[in-house]
Amino acid sequence: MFFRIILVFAISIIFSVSGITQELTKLRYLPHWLPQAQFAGYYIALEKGIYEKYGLDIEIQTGGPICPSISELKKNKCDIVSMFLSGAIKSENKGVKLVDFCQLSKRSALMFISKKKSGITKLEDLNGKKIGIWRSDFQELPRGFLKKYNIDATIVPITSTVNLFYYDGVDVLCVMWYNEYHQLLNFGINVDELDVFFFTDYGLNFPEDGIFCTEEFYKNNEKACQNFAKATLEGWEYAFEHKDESIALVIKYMQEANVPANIPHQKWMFNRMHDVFILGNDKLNGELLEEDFLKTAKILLECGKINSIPDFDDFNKTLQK
Amino acid sequence: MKLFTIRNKGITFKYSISILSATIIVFCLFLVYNYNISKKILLENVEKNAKNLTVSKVNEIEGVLKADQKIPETQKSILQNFNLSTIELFKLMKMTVETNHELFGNCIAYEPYSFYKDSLYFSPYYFKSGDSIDYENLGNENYQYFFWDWYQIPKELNRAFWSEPYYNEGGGGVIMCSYSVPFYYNEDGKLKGVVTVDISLKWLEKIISEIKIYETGYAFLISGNGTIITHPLEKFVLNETIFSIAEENNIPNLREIGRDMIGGNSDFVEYTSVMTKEDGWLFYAPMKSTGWSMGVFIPNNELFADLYSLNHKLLIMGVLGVLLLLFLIIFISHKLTNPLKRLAKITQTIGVGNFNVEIPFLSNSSKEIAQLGNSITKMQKELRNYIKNLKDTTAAKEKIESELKIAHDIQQGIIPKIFPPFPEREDIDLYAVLNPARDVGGDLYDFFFLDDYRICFTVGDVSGKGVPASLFMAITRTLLRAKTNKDVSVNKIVEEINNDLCQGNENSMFVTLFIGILNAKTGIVEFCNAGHNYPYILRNNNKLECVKETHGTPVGIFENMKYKSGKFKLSKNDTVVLYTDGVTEAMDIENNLYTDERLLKLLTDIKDHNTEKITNTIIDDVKDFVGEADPSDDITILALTYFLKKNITENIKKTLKLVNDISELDKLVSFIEEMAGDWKIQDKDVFNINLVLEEIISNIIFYAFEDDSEHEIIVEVDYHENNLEIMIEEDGKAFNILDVPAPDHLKADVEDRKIGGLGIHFVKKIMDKIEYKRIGDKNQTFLYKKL
Repeated sequence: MFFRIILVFAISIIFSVSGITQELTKLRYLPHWLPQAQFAGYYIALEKGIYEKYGLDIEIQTGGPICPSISELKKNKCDIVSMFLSGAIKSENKGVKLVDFCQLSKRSALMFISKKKSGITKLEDLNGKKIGIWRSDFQELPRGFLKKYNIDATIVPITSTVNLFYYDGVDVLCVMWYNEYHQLLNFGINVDELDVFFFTDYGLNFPEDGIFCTEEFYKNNEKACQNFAKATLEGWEYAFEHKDESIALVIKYMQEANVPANIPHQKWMFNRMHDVFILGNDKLNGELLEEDFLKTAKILLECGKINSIPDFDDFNKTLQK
Repeated sequence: MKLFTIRNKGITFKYSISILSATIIVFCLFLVYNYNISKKILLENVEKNAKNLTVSKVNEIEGVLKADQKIPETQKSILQNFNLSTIELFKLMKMTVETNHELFGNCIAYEPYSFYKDSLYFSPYYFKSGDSIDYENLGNENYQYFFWDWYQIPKELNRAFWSEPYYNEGGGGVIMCSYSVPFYYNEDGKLKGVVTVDISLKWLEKIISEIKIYETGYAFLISGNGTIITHPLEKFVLNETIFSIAEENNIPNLREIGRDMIGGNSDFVEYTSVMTKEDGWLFYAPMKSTGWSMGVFIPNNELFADLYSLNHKLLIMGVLGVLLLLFLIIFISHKLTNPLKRLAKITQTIGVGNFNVEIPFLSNSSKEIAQLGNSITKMQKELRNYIKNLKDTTAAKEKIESELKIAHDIQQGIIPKIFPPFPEREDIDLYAVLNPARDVGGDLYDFFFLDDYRICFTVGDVSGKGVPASLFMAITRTLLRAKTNKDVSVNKIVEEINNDLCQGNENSMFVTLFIGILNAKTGIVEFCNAGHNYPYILRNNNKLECVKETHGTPVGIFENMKYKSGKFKLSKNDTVVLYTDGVTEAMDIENNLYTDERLLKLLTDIKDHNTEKITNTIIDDVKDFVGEADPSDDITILALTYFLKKNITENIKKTLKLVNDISELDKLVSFIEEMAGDWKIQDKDVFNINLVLEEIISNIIFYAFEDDSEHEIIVEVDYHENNLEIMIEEDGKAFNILDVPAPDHLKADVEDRKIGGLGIHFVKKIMDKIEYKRIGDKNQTFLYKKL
């Protein structure tokens, strides 16, 4: 009897120890921008050992304007990237075929804003104006918007800040709802001094942030990728339940990366990520819906960014919710 | 001296409260006013100083910045007007960086294909690196400078542009700021490129941090979009904008301040520092050249430190002053109340009867207190005298009262008090009561027997009350007893009493008097009413009669007044009730009178002829009527009830003595009546006897005497076994009745008759036998009749 107890005890120790000595899959994840609340879930998942729980050893790299996701992937500087769905769909044209194994964002956060004093109140007023659009991976979306509504305006590419718009260098600016919009509020512009045009209100509701890797990489590391997706979702869940802790962690990452950081702006961004990831009464999940895929691909096709719409099943590696 | 005694609470307390309250209020008002005025003045000064400080610093900073602006502007002029070669350009730039120590770097960036026709990017950049100056060509695929703020904004805005400050090396290092100036082709005004200088703002930090505003005051700088450039709180710098700080700390008015600052305005506002949490004031002024704004925070506690300290000092002084005032009040009122207290105690002692207590000489008190002391001393003396007088007066009064008491007893002793007065007699019952209004009074009653069968009863009322009336009453009563005997008629008694009372009656006092003499044999009462209340007779059939007869004025008024008399007959069980006007004029508390009517009614209802009961009934009814009121007059009631005697009195000789006056005939009548009553003589015989004796006695009176002097006529009557014998004796001239002839003409007229004939005829006719004797000088006529 006593011997049997010792045996059971020993076996369980061996298994747990083996669990520890079992090798963690190393993965390098590159966020598609500088550290900010947009990536809170990843930071939390790492900090709270969720990745580790799923057998992953994750390195979160510092993204930003100087290291665009696709080129880094190409250079094999990273394994997993996050980017806009649109960017991933058209990546094949850039020589990299990507698969989506976690579609976090369910809706578009893009918007055009203009100052009320510039006299733009409705879409038609955009005609003949200077519109600032980010030189980014997803600039076909705002361009598609303008095309759809036959707006003839001067597009001014924006790279670094909203200051050009702030100092009235452009009349309209295409911004992220969770980022630059609030940034402008933090520059002293009052909400009632701005006119907004949400992409979602104008039939251009394209989901954005998703987690991608190359098709090849996925074939070889399917389990790890799925674990990464699961862990990331779990990380986001925890983050949404522990807002202040998450924001504090984000600020820590930002300070380490010498990125200007303040709590109000990160709080705003964090809350908007929640709105973007979770629609209505849904639970947080990483499923990609075919209709979202198709309408995004369609606009890319119209802008000539892709020649054909990729196969959905090839592309979609997300788990059903 | 006990300063802290609370026993002086009265005056001290009141004065303390009111004076102190007033003082405190005035002081508080003064303090508040002083504080507010001082604060206002201080703030005005502070604002002025802050303004001066801020503006001077702003000017200082702008001075430097403006100087720095000159560098790229100069370069712009050169680049626009001269076509420099690459070498010349580089030389220019290198030299610029070398010679300007605050310059960190200098970059001249060209539009695509602008410098070199085949080169998209051309942006040489000279910068300080350690001790030397390095070079770099900025533009490449990865750094397309066209779209960066320092290039794009001046390009799009077509003007020079101060960039937002940034860190030199990604988050660390030095804060830098770039000034970019666009330059153009002279020919067509198209943009050629942008000249930029990078300036370290370290010196700026130094200037700002040198700004000393007390200990906890500070200055800060914000950029054109509100980003914090310099701030004592390091973590704010380049991380926060003034608006993000406002959002994080939930201070809406800070957002407004930020907008105002960015708007290029200047103001002096109340503000609570986010960093120090202190309340204070914020002055801000714009830096026009860069679009920045500088704010200077002045904490209240330091700003108003002197004011607060002054206020504290004033407050402490005030409190001390108030305390001093309090002590002063206590001291003064103590000084005031002490002698007052002492005087109060002394007055109390006087109040309980000690008139000899020493009153202290309060010389050291105020005039008013000394006056009070003198008044009390005087009062004490007066009280002493008054008490002594009172004592004397009281002693005198007591003496008089005791004498009055004796007088009362004497007066009560005068009137007969024993009831029933004649228990052995079965024919008369009498009860009387005299209640004087005061100790002694003027009412009187009296009753006494004149002889065996005749009782005199009297009720009288002297005018006035008290001792004078009682003395008069005593005199009256004495006179009554003296003047009354069985031979004197009742009216004569009254006349004599009247004459005596009129003598020496200086005070014109009088007495109403009722004297009645009851003949117990006949039941006839002879009475004289001299102005007295009409008595009542309660008949045995319970009918009530009022004897409404007066025979003259009250006694004591008119000398030699003639009084008449009256008569009434009592039957068995009849009761006479006499009273004074103390009964009928008794007053109740509302001064209503008892009235005759009430007495009449009361007596009407009486059935029982018990004199005591009757008297007490009247007394009780009067008492009921009077109630709580004081008695206004003496009350006297006398009730006499007559019962017929069972036995007939024995036949004794009766004698009557008369005087030769025609008025004496009344006595004769009474005599005969009495005789008739005693001997039970029939009325017919009584009539005849009356006739006979009247005739004879009149004849005697008129004709028997030749002189005017008084002569006596004696009538003796004897009756036994129905034989009546009358003897008349007088000492007139000889006259034999038998000698008178019979009247010759019986039928003749009365006037024609000769004197004496007819009367004598009747006498002879009526009497059975007549005899005449002359004894000495006396005539004796004998008349006999068998009845």
